[in-house]
Amino acid sequence: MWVHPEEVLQASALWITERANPYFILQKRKGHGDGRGGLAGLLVGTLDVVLDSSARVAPYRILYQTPDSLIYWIIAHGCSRKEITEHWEWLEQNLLQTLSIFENENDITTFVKGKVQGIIAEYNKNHDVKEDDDTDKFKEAICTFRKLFGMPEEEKLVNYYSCSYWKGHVPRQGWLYLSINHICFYSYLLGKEAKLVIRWADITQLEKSATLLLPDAVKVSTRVAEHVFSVFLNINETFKLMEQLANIAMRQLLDNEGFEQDRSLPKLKRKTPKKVSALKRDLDARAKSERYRALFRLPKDEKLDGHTGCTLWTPFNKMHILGQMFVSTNYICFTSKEETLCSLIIPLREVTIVEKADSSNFLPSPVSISTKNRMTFLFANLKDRDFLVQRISDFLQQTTSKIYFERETTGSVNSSDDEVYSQQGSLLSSSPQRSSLGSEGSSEGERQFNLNDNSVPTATQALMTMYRRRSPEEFNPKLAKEFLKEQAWKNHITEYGQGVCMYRTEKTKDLVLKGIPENMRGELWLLFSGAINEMATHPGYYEDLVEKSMGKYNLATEEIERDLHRSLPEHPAFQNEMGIAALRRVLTAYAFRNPNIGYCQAMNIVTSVLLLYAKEEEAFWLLVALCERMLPDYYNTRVVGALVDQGVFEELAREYVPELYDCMQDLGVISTISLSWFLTLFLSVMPFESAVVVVDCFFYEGIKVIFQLALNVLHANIHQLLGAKDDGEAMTVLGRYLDSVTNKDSTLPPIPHLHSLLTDDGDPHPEVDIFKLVRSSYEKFGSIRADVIEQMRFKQRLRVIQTIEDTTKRNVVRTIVTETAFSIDELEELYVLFKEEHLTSCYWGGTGGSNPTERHDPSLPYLEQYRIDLEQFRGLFSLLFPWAPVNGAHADLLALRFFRLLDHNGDSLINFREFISGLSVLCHGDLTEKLKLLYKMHVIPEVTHEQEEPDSAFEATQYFFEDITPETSNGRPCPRQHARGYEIVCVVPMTLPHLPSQANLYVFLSLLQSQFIELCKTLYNMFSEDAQEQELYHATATVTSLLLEMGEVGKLFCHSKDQEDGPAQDGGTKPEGVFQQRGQGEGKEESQARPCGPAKRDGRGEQLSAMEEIRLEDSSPKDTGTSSSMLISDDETKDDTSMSSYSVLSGGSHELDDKLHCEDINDDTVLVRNGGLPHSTSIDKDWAITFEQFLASVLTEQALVLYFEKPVEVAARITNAKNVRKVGCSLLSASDYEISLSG
Amino acid sequence: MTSRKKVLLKVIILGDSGVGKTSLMNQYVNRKFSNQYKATIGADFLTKEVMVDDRLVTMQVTTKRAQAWCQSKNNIPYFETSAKEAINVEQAFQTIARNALKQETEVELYNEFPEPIKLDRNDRAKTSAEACTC
Repeated sequence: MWVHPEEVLQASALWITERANPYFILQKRKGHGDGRGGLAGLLVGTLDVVLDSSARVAPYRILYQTPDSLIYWIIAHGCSRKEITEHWEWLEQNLLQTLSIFENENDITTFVKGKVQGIIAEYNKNHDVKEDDDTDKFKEAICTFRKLFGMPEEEKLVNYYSCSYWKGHVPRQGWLYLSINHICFYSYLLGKEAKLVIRWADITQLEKSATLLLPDAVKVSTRVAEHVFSVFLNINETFKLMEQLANIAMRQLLDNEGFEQDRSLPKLKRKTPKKVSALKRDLDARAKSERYRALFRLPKDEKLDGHTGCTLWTPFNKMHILGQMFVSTNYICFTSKEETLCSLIIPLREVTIVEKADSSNFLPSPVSISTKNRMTFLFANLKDRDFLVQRISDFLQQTTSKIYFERETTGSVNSSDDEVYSQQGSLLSSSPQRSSLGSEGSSEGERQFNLNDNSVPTATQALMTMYRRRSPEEFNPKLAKEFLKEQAWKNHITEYGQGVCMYRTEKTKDLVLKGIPENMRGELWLLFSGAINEMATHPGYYEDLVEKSMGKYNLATEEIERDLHRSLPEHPAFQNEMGIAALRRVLTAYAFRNPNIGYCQAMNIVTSVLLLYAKEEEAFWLLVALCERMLPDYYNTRVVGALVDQGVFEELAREYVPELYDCMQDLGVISTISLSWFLTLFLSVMPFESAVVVVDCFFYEGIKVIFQLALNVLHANIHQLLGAKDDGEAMTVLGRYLDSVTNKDSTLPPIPHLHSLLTDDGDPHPEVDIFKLVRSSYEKFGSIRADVIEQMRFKQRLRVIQTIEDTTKRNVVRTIVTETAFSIDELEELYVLFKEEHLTSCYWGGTGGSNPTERHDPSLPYLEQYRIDLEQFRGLFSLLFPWAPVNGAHADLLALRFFRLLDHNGDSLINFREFISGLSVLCHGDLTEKLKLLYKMHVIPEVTHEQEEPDSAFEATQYFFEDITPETSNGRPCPRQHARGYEIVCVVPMTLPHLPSQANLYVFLSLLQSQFIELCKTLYNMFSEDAQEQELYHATATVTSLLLEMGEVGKLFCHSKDQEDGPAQDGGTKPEGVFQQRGQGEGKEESQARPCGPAKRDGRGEQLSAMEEIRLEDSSPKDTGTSSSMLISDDETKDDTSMSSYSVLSGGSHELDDKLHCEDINDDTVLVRNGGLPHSTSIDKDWAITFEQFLASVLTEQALVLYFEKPVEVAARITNAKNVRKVGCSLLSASDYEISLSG
Repeated sequence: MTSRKKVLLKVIILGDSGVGKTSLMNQYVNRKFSNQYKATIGADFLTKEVMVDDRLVTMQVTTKRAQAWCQSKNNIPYFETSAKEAINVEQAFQTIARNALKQETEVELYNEFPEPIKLDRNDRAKTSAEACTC
């Protein structure tokens, strides 16, 4: 075993060197092993005993020595030659080449020591894990992980491995941490620190690479860099885990479902927080279950419980076959060791008896399992038979209780439905059908058809049965062949069993490849696809779904409707309403079941064929099997699955038809054509009766058949394709070839293939026999294995999904670039930062309580796909925004204000466009724009920070704003809360003209004193690190004192005004009058910004008076803004003269409205009344200034003007932000901020 | 420019699903119309040789399903066509070909890599992919 490196002074004494290379020496203790040993051996033995040296038990050791040094380090010892040789070989394979890189010998020593210690630690860890009380070691690792990379508690560490990271030409020995969302590396060697944090979601490629230099390395690529890790103890295990985690991340990018599904992971853990390694075990189990389900086509939620080696008695050839038995919650499966020999699926719902038979020498520990249709399966050589049987019977018990429950419920539903809706009754073929598939012969099945046929003509039977023309009187050769096929299958059934539990052998496959007889297609498709299991366990599900989904309209149903008549128009079954209606029901029901997919073109074509051969409910379950298991992700919004398989196909083509590959790359044909091959399983490109043969094979063999066939089609046309001048010609070649594929056995009345109908090129292509095509595809390309395809799919999935992400980014940037002064590059960088922020919230959950899955919706327009909430905005704000103060407390407050200003629709989320609009003003806006923004930020009604629902008040205001029209005046309640924790409610009555947007509106409001104070604080904070700090502070002081005075003046004016027309207020007419008085005739709007709050000094109001009182006060108009129109003569304000000249306000007429609003607000918990009103003494409620005043004042100070005119370079900030991200500093969870109000 | 040269033009028809892109293509290339069309998955493809102003042109017509019609081009010529009745189909494609050829000469003159073909506003119309589907 490996030992902590220790110096050894004398390398040769008492030890014999057996092997050596420039760095390592393998030694044997003198006297060990050889019988004689001699005197030296004897002596050594004695010494060892006396000194109790470890060498007594470990007579072998490995020393490390640098060529130029005399010091040796012992790094491993072993008690047997085998053990030490293993270590030796590992060193030779993994370390030697790496070591030759170093130039400095000290580095090598450090590296080797680090490596060995890493291995020991990992070894210890693994052993602890096995003993299940790992936790101490692992907990330690988790702590280290969090501390090193600044990860929050929500980030779950899965495992960590000792390895080397290649930075430049030098490997750094350290630890690789794999967590749910990140891959991290840390090493600290020779005073140099290497730290790396990569999100799985950013990975574009993950490869196990082998170069001469590095025999076993993992290359992790992102858009910006490649990272190479090597010298793993067990690279396969590590790589598998990496793949799995990357895959989870891709799924999260891909669809909403991914989020939910995979978020269950950490949740699962939360219940048992102590056993951290459970996460790794959970992931392993997941991977195993996935393979198990894929192997036997089991439903998506089936979880593998365990598997064991055994034998199975196969009656058809009277043999005991060696293989593996798999047991899961609802199934027992078997597959022979020799893959094609036999496989078996026994659903527990079919099982009647499980019993231990008598053991014999010949057949040790046998178990027999009997099923409902009287088949008995005999397993033997089960190592842990008792446990296994116990396990199975446990599962069996659960199953039976489930079945009883279902029977009861569905039974009652059925009966009532039958009475009420005769139509529904006809759909209820589920229960009888289940049994018919399980046990009854085909004759009984047919009788059932007739029965249903008489009652209601719906699709309780396969549509084909109505159009199948049987003319037994004429015995033509095709029918004879069909008859023979049926006979062959009947023989197969008698020999290998029927239904789900049939023994599936090479023989079965042969029969499938010859084409399934017309009248058995539906049944066998259902069986081979595994759809039969889902259907049997969900009785009544489909009818329920149909009932629920019919009559609902949405985008999916609209698209379905458009395609119903364009699915299989050439077939008579879809030339009448019956077939069309069945197709509509199935597609609509599916869209209803799985809104993530909804409907995608190509599903219609596939489903129409399914309906021809299977009953409606069966067709539905077949579609489910296709969409959710057999063609994963094919039919989602961006047909990701088909794109993935297209990529796999290209890769396979390069390998199997290399001569064509180069030329095809040029022609770009593969991608153009193959999409429809995959999406429709050749149904849209081949004549119908030939394509169903492909579907037969597909249901039996899976996607592999489609790949084989596609390759074979390329191969068959290789010469024409090589001679093609352009991709157009290549497409024509392939199109004509596929058109000419025929099924000579078909007994169907010939249906013209539409495509060939349209292209009449004169000379028809010679016919191609579909069966020969399939056969030869197996001969040439049958060696392609399903697990290899899965591996390739993983690689392509990374590529496809990241390409989609890039496209999204490009599209978003392109839309926005015209709206801002940022360059495309800057926008792209910003987008990346923005998306990262979004992802972070998905990883660890938003603090705002908004569900991240609701925020990411791939079906939304590009721009809306990623949105961030306040918490996340805060992080970006402090990193990117020029005004963000260093002072933490105020930064948060400012971020909050900014966020609410940007959040135009008030949903507490901002999208990228909104984000950029704000940043753009700060970076590139002119002085006025910036000041306007600053002003608006502070005039915007605030919300209390302690509130549970921070946005409720805001929504309320939003609501009011929407109501504003030029004709009516509305009260606008501004609930605000001061930092000290008391609240002021002010109602601002106003009349406003057409408003460009809500945010723009804020500029018309007057700034209250308290808000003004906040603004001053913002200014001071903003300048705190500026080079001109002193000047700026001075300027700010001047401006603010000026403004304070202005406010005072305005207040005086306002008070006098107040007394003038206070009680005499006469609703809407009055403002008009005031207006004219002022001679500002043009003004179409008057806005009033009159604060009215329960401030202590208010002579009329009681502090904290009831809402009504506040509102009543309000009815007395006040004029706060008169001075503004006089003060401002700025051009900028001229273009909205009418707005800037608002000066008066009054609002008697809206009392009623006010009242209502106030009550609303009350309900909304905004107006939390805190006990004693704190000291608001310093705050004068009548004091107010306008934007124009603010602007004019700022303009008087050169320092401020310069500051606000200076454009901000965002590039540096972006770089900085990226660096911060890398180090992980920004990942710390938001600090609880405290607010203190200064003066 | 020698007018005897054979020229290859590629025409891509984009449009919302079900509007009749395939119908239009088939009417033009095969002079056929069928009520029974299958939804086109991926891309479809036909070739036709036509004479445009004395030049032999091979037209490759591709139908492609596009998510949305790009609204931004307002200077695109407009043709009301019917694939069923074969109204304006020929004219529309002829116009496309002629304009593409005109563009091509310009490209040759300036000897730069081809820019996307922009049809200028005076002459002609563009094919609205509107066939009257009955």
